[in-house]
Amino acid sequence: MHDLYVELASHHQAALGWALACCRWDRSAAEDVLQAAYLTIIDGSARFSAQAPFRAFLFGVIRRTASAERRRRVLRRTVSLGLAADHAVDGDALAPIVRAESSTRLVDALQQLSARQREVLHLVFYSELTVADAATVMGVSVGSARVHYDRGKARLRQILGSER
Amino acid sequence: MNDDDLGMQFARMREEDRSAASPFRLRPAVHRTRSRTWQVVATAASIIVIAGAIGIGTAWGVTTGYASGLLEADRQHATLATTTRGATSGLAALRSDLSLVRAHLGKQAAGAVSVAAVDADLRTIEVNLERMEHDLTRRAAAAAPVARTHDVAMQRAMAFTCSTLGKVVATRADTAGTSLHRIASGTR
Repeated sequence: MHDLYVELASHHQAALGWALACCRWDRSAAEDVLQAAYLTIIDGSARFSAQAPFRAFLFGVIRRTASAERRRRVLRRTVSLGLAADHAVDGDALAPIVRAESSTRLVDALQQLSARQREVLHLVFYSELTVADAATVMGVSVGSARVHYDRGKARLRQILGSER
Repeated sequence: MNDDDLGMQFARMREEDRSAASPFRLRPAVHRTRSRTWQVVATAASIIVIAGAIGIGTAWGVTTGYASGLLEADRQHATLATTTRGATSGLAALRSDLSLVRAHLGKQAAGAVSVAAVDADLRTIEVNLERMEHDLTRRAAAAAPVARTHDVAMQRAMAFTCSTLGKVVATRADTAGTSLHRIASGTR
């Protein structure tokens, strides 16, 4: 168990960046998703099988948790039972991230891509995973991930180039 | 813009996130508890709604089905009564005609062969009439307020049979009349 804590702590900052991307840079949602993913791993609901790097495993759990949380929020918004107050994040954890103009433009450009393209570009460029590991995280084949990577990169270049 | 430029921009964003990141720690499982609470509430609500829908649907279906059955039974009972009345009155008329024919035969010619044959036919018809009357009476008494379509069909068949018997009796009466006329005129 201690090893698991150490492993999670060592990947915490990268995991937060990935959680931000999965939650479309919603800071509080990303913190919630991250905590839920950590709990999923610690209570044994998700087990690391050592077939892929731990970071890929952790990112896969975060991605699934974010998807589940997104669906849950949509359901709560639809049902409107007044149980949507689920953000229990400390005040300092919600401090806004100060970004440079280029980073803001990059986030805006990423928001215009499809989810798959955004995910594979973030995993490769931000988290510095290989395309194969990114495919593992995304749950798609390597070929499919490569297609998303190439098309997303071209589209991102186009968007960022047109803004200059 | 090449891959290195893209990589630099992502690296800058990574550094910004890293500088703002909170240290690693595990919060108490508030979120999970809320999720489980939500799941339990949603499951219980679903079960209650489904059970309520099934109960209401069953009660509604039984009530409407029972009411429909009662209406149908009343309608068929009325049809049955009408048919029985018609058949009974037809049989009464036949019986009256039969009595007249028999009385006429008894007065006119005793012992003639053709008259005896006609009399035998009349007796047979009379027995049939009695049986049909008895059957109609029994069925009318036993008619219950439930849907029994085969009874209606049976009554229609009875009415058709009565009508056919009436024609037979009329034909026989004509024949008997002709025989009587011949006997009376001494041709035989």
